[in-house]
Amino acid sequence: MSASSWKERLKGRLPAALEEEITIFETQLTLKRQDKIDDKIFAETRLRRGVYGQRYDNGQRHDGVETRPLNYPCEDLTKGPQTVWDAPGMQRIKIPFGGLNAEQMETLADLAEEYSDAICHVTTRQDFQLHFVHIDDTPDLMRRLAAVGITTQEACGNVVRNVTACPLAGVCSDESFDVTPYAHALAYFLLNHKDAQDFGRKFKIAFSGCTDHACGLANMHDLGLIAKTRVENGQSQRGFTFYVGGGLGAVPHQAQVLDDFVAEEEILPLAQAVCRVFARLGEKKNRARARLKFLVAKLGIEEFRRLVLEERAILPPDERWTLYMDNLSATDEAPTRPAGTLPEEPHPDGFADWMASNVMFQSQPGYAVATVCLPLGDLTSAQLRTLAGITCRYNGGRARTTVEQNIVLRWISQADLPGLYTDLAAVGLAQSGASTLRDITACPGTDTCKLGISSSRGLAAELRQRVSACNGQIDPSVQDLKIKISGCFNSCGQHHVADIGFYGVSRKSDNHAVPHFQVVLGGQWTENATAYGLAVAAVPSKRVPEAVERITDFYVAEREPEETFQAFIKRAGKAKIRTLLQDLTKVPAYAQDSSYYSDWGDPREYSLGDMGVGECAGEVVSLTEFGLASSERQVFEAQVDLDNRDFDKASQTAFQAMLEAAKALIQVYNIDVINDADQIVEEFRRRFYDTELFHDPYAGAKFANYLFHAANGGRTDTSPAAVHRRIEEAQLFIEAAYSCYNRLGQRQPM
Amino acid sequence: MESVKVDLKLFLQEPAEVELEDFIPVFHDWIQHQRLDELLIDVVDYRHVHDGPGVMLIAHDAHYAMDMADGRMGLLYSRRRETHPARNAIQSVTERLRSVLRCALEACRLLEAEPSLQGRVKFRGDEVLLRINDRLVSPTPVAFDDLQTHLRPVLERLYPDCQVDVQSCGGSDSRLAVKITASDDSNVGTLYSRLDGSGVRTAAGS
Ligand code: HEM
Ligand code: SF4
Repeated sequence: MSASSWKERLKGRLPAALEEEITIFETQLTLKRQDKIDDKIFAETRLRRGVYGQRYDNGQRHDGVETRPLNYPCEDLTKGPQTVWDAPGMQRIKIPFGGLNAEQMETLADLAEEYSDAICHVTTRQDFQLHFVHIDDTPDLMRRLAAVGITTQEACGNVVRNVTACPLAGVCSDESFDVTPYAHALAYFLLNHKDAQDFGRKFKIAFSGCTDHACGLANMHDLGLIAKTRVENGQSQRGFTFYVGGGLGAVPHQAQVLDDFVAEEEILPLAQAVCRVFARLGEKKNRARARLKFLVAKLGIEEFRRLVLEERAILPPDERWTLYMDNLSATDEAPTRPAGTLPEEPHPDGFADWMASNVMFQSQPGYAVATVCLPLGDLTSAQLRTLAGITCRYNGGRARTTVEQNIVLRWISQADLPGLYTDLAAVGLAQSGASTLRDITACPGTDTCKLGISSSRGLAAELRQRVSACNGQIDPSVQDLKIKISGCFNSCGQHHVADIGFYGVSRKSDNHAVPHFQVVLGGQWTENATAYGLAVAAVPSKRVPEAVERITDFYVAEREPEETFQAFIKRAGKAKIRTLLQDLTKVPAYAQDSSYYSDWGDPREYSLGDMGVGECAGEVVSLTEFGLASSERQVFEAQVDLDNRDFDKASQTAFQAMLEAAKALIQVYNIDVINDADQIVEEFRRRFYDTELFHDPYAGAKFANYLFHAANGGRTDTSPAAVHRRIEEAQLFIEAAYSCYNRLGQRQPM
Repeated sequence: MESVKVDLKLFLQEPAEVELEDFIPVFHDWIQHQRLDELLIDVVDYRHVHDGPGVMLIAHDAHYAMDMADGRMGLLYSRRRETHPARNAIQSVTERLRSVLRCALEACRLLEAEPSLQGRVKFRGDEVLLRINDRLVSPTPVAFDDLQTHLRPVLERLYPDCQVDVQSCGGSDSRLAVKITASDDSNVGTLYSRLDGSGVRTAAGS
């Protein structure tokens, strides 16, 4: 019964490239434990695999009375700047366009039980997140995901994040066409793409099937693609309107149109060209201004467009640009049950409500989409496992996550709806009210986020409970309003695009800090989030439920017939609403009512002492720094080979390490360097040796000659002593490469 | 079975007497006053999910949850690793099982004695759920027998002179799990003292 390892158990069951990738990461963990990798580089290395920090990982926590150290057993070992190795972390798991199958759901459920807290959390960008994960467990966790076709690569860090898409893609009556295969193709084309590795910040992409509805939120993304068809020469042609430079965050920007119609075969190369321009010209030092939105704003859309088209024109052709188009149906989901009609009553208790709010008929007659509402985006492992079984019964084992932190089940025969409802209800997954006032979105906030100021999840839970309690008495005009909550101004909860948004702030009163939320009104969810709201007043956390009540009552009482909430807010004016909330903003003295001085769901006296350094921006690590770190890992591997007396392999790996370092340096000038030993050596000679750029101030050409010697057949001597020497030379060569890179200065113009 | 990841749950006698919310300040207080001999980190509120882990106290070596799985409230102790000096020398599965029980019973005892809960929390001593939270250990009949062998000496101490039944109850989620029932409904304090009075005071303490 003795346990083997997951590496052993899954041998041959994951794609070779992913196995190699994960093994590399494992080696990096080993090197970091030996203090052989720089904190900053290691942090970005793990972030790019979705391994995130979490609150209290700086080794301290305010317990309500004072800030105390958390004495993790690892002592000084860190996994990034001010991030303690042993501290629990978060694992983000990228789910392109939110598409999941049953096996994947079961695996996620298993992983949450074994490595996390048995809770699977759906994020506001269709990802999954597991919390309280130890970094030592992450390689196994990744292997088990890889075995079911999921990678966590580039889930965080300054890279292309999860590519999102309407969860109704392919079944929605409003869409131009199904965007799924395009989202899938672009996600995997840009994954690990060399042109998408050298960003100053993250890069988010979203696909929408139509212009009018919210689902894709294309306007708030770095790159938004909205499906469109046009008729050319009597032929209907598919394409996308390309939006660039949108984004939320502290300074939200609406995206601008880069091109009104980009034909389907052009979307991959054009996206690649946008990435290249962003990598080349985007801000790298000041991360507060490093998102694409700032570059587009700085250059102006015309100039940005010109640069992108110029870049597009010189891109080396790539067959992957159109290869996927030969099989656009690869992502199709076929129904497994015959189309049907809803059976006559009687229906199960609660079915009518659920049907009204959670079910939408598909464009395909006889089928429906059912939304599984997840409170705060959470479900238990047991629920997710059961859900996987339910999908196998009803739709062939498929589901999609949504940006509203829910899960949708598509291709449900209408005849099966009562049965589905009953099965979901048995595990508490049949809550009605999807996309209504009580279906609140919230970021992690102070629960687990290092930057959290107020408890977004605590507030969301409280509001949800209160709204649910008065269900049935809520005026229909406010029933469908959306509430979104962020724990701070960074807007991970997308509060800018809610009808009523909140973000956490803190205020001082009576010499104590008091958790507050700014009330943000006037945002718009529809039309792909084309309007952002503005803050009207900061209300203490504990009075926010009353603020919601006041605002909604005011709307119900004073709205004109048919007047939308947004139009009403505009007409009423922010000043009036501010006055409406004025008395709620007052904070009583501590002695009078201390409840104001703690947050929802957390009885500790509130303090800002737990805020740490967020990892949202990742660390700006250049391609060259990454390459040099990777060459160091190879030298280490060569040493291991030598210890194992595999001299041929050790010699070869040491040479590879030098090549990697040389290539990394070349990338300062030429990002397209070809991965071929002869070409790398030749280009290195030309750019660094002939120019003497690589020459050491004291040792001159000595270190460069190590590379040339090995390349010129020197590495064929695989006697133990020669290999030993070669490994030392490789190490020295890499040191010299670091020095050279430092001498070159931060960055040379390309 | 070498896995350190062992879960153990003890159930409440009268779950209706208490609300999950009541445990939030208690767990915070445990952190403030270092009530358990281990590195306690944070409290997590999962009351909003159906039959979920309820309210959790996250420690470095384990998670403690007032858990609602299958609709039954109880204390779930879920060991994650063994870094505490008293645990990192654990040599055998039996020692580990004893140590897990000791930690879980200790938490139960504390909850029963918690002033703010005013005696509303009482655990059943006659039923224990034990699970290997590691799918590298497949829930085969051989693994079940193996677990029983390791468990026997612990149960003999825990429930002397009474009928004890160990039944396999896992499987659907691919984890090895057993339900232990005993004809003796002693309180957790008694169970704890029996464990401790085992005479085999190993390094497996809590
Ligand atoms: C300065 C730091 C940060 C900024 C500016 C930032 C900004 C954002 C924005 C604008 C979004 C979502 C909106 C969109 O869809 O584009 C987002 C998503 C998210 N952020 Fe942050 N964030 C930061 C740090 C963090 C931290 C420290 C956490 C906590 C662990 C966090 C958790 C999340 C989550 C859970 C999402 C939705 C997730 C996803 O991509 O799947 N963020 N962030
Ligand atoms: S909005 Fe702020 S509190 Fe919420 S996850 Fe983002 S950074 Fe953290």
